[in-house]
Amino acid sequence: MMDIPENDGSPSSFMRSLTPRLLIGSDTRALAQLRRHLANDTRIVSFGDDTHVPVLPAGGEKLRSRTGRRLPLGFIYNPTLLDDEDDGGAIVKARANLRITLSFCSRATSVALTR
Amino acid sequence: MSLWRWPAQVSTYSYCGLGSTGVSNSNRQGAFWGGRALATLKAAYADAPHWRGTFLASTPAVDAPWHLPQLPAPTVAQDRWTAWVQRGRLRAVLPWTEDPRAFTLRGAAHMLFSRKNLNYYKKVWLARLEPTYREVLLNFSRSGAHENNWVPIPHGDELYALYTICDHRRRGDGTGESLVLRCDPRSGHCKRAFSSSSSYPASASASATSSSSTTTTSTSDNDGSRARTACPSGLRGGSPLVKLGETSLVGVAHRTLTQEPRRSGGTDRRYVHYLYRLEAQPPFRLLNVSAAFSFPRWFNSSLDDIQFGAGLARRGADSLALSFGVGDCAALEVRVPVARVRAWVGG
Repeated sequence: MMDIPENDGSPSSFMRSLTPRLLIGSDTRALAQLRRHLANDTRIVSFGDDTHVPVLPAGGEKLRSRTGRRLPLGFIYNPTLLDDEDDGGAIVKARANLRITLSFCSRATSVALTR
Repeated sequence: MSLWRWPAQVSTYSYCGLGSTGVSNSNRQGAFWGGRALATLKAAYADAPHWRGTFLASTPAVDAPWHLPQLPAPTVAQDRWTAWVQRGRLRAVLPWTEDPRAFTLRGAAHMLFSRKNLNYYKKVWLARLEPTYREVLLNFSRSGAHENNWVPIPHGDELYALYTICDHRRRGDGTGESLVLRCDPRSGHCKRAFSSSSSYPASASASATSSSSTTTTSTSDNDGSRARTACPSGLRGGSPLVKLGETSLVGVAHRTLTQEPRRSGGTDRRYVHYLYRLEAQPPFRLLNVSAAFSFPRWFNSSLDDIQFGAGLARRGADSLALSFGVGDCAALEVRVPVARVRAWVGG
């Protein structure tokens, strides 16, 4: 264990004298937004492999990229972040009238669902 | 096709689970609603015009099915998300991103982050967050199977990354190596740009050693008579860098110490932190490292051994905000006067 002196004006003693402030948690505005996103704008989609159990509850399509590659799970909540020019980007209409936009980034890890 | 449903009420979600620490399902740092959980692990402030008043926060899976073993991730370990909050508004939630380091490059918000593959090895990625999201794996010929803790150094239109602060393994002379890469934001390809000794010889001008592609020049470090602390081996990047005066940058770094796990549980690791100062211009030579410190205790348990200083930003002219995670489940902030920081690292 490192020997850290106390009460000597050192970084350690000064830091230990501080009272930290809890972040987020108290940021109700951002939390409320996040909750709305989770409640309204996101669903879990299966991509045709039943080992990935989550599905779009209202009956989403099995999703593939433009190149036919099966897509993994994922979400981006802000449609402004989408980049249809990325490889494999696709827009799919699901039966529940959810507009599903897929941003197929370099490692195929981003999929977006928006209403 | 089967249907997975989230249970109506989740009462056993715990992310602060380092042994029997006593921090359990209440998860006072998180927020619960309707059976879903949000807990913030680490908040990552950054200091750039673009980011003023903003932070990125690593969270565990916001919508938690990825924690269930029967739901394997296809390509990555999906246990970290980043919530991007800007001026109190949620801008985006970015999946499978950990330890974000935010910065502005060419007028757009970016972040470096870590991502685990299915073997739980991490790699470092670069994400441009606006106007459209784009991410790329950063690769360097010397990269190992496990890479993280690179520190972004945007400079003009160039992106540099601090790869090691003082890596003693790379040199045989007892000194540490500070290695800076230059990265192409488009391809993710990174090359060695500068390296220098972090041994702090008496003459600052003698400390930098010329490296591969760029001639290293010496600058005055304005350190006055402040004694320098030896750069400890294994020091790794944590926070983005913040300007300290006109000629230097300051950041928070960390290293891990091994310890005997407590009988009550906990971990065999303990994190200690350091402030360090670099030149603000290439070659970004390491100028000084503070004495070690720990952030204030939050849980009064072994959870406090796991601290991670992830963010640093100016707050007014006289103060720095340091954001950090404790126990991988609480995001906290302390303010430190700039004068204190100068006393510890010079500048």
